[in-house]
Amino acid sequence: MLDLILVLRLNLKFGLPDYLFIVVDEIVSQMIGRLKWMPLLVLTSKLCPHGIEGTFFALLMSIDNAGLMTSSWLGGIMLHVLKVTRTEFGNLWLAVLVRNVMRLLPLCFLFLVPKGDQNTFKLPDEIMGEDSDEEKDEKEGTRNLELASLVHSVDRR
Amino acid sequence: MRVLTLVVSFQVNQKFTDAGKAMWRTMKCSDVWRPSLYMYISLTLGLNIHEGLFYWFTDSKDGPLFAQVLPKQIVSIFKLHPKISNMLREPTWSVLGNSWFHSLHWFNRIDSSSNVIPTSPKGSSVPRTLFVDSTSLCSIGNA
Repeated sequence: MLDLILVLRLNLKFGLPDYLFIVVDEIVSQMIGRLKWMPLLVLTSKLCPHGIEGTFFALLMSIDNAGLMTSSWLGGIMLHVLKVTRTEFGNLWLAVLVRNVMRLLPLCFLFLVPKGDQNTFKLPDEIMGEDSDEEKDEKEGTRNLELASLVHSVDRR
Repeated sequence: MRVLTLVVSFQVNQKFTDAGKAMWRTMKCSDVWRPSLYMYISLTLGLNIHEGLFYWFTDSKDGPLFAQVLPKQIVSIFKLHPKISNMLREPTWSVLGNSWFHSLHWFNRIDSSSNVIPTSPKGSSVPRTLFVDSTSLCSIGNA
């Protein structure tokens, strides 16, 4: 909404200079952007199943990047439709207003996000890939082996 | 030699197919694709009209008529702020002064710390990678 105040030149009516206003606007928008980014990252890390965490995290990040690219693309289309060009800015306030309204729309899609907080959320077991008995034995063996090597090195001393 | 190459490429193909299958299986789960779709939608709906605002800042007669570099400077200062906070997090930064030596020091410390952690630190690998990333960016910025 601070953008809209700037574009409609309301800040000059309040006696705030443009320089100050842009700096404050940038501080606030960067901070909110980072705060918004954090829960998405937590959700992304929670969605990764065992075994292919890295690959799946990369896939989710690519989805995020595709979303950012689509947003630039749609923003460009909107500016084109509203005939905002390099020299013509008559409808820029409308573009900013539409952008601000669109930013509220994800609230309607909140039902897509699983309920519960980050500590209770868990993927179903068939995806998380529970360890089979053989693997467990193997792991136990490795653990003992590690301990054995430690004991040996202690003995040597 | 050729047989070896064939065997290796077969194994790579096999692993690639396995990973693809596992990802597809995971994606089909409704607990996974719904949040992913939400992330995509929420990022898409935040329309990006920075270009229009930039031209308004610099060219419009009604606008503030900044020089073209000024908005970019303002934006770039705030792009730097995670790096500044990273520097503040490590108080020895100012003592050592030499960022290159410092980042090498960090790599050693991270390597040794990964051997020390006893349980499976699956979640910590991602933030650690990100941290190394931001440290290297920081040393590039200092150079």
